[in-house]
Amino acid sequence: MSVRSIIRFIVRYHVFFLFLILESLALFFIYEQKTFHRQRMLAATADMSGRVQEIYSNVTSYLVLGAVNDSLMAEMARLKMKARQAGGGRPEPAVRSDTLDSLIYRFIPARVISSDYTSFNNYILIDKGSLDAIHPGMGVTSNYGVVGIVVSSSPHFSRVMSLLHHDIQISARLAKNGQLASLVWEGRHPQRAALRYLTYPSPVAVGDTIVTAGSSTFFPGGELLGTVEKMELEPGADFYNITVKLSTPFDRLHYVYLIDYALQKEQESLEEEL
Amino acid sequence: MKINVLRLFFQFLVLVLLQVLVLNKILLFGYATPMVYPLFILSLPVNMPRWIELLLAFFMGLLIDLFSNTGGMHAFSLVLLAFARPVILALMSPKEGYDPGEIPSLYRQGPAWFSVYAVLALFIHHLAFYVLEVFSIAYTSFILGRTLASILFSLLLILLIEVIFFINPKRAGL
Repeated sequence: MSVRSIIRFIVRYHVFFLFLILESLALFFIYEQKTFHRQRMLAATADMSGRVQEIYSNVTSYLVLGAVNDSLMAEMARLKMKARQAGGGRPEPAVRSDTLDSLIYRFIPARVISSDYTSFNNYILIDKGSLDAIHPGMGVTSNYGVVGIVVSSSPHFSRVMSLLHHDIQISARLAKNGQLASLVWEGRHPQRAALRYLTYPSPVAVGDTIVTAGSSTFFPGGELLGTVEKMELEPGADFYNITVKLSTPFDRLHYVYLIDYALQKEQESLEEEL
Repeated sequence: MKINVLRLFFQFLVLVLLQVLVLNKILLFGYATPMVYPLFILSLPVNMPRWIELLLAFFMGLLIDLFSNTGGMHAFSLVLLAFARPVILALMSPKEGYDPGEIPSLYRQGPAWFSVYAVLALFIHHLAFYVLEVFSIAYTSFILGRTLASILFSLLLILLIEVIFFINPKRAGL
């Protein structure tokens, strides 16, 4: 076959070839996105889409100021109560395990620019990036509860893998007795997740609080995840089937805190040795 | 053939923004998310060069992917739709054929024809999208459920847009 006939062949079926090329490109982008540790593309595009969505969010953020205020006031009240219980109004002693804890975990506030919750794998875009010392692997919470984990950051923006994502699994605890379990999202309702591996027998009941276990490098222990909404135990099974109502409203998320864990590198390097 | 580039550009922009800023945030009954942007490809002139059609579909899809963290899922589904459109058009061709440069619309071809045309195209697009998004056989019923529910939602919005913007014969003939 001569070169000429090959060229003629390509020209003749150019639409089909173009179709194949474009579809392969699209599949390549999807692959890049799906691989958790290779989010280079995301970092590159975060800046562009971030700037556009920030304009939109700047306009619409005025409409929700009331709701944001209410949630901040509620958190203030909670923290005030906690401070009173802890210190009783008297000055605190210089070093205590609590204060040491708060030095190890630093909280950085950020604004949510866009939050997905309608997809099978959801992401959240926030307005702080590598210039603000944000880096992949940081946990993200809000005054409602746990939000997700940072997966990539550009200079001014970061992408957060939301709790509503298929590759995320959070080590959790039953707040009542500290029993360990694992929280996953099954891709249905943005407010419901499944709690797996809670072993029988357990005093778990509907309405019980589920918090983070604190064993991962992403979150300190005791961050609110949600409450038990429905539970059942098949006869003879070792684990309960539990549906958790997530405490974070992903459709109304406006401000979040990034968790900077000072010992993250240390803990990770030790875990890698195992 | 006369292509109104300005009108195409305007449609492109409005549909992308509508999808990214408004529709992506909707989840009806925990299932349906409308995708209306395929209307851009659906209302390209029937004799549009196919390579332009494919490229337009690719860039539109990629732009939406960029804003919705979906990698290339919208791009893949929309290119597939653009590739399949001539087949759908041929299947549904009226006896006397299409006028050159004709734009398929609710006004020109009538509600029945346009609805079938849109449903066929949306089915290809939505199914491809949800298969890529979920990417697991274990969720077959979930995929089909989301596809069908979203098609219904998308179709309603597309018909609504057609009625509002293209029903005027003078504008429909642009």
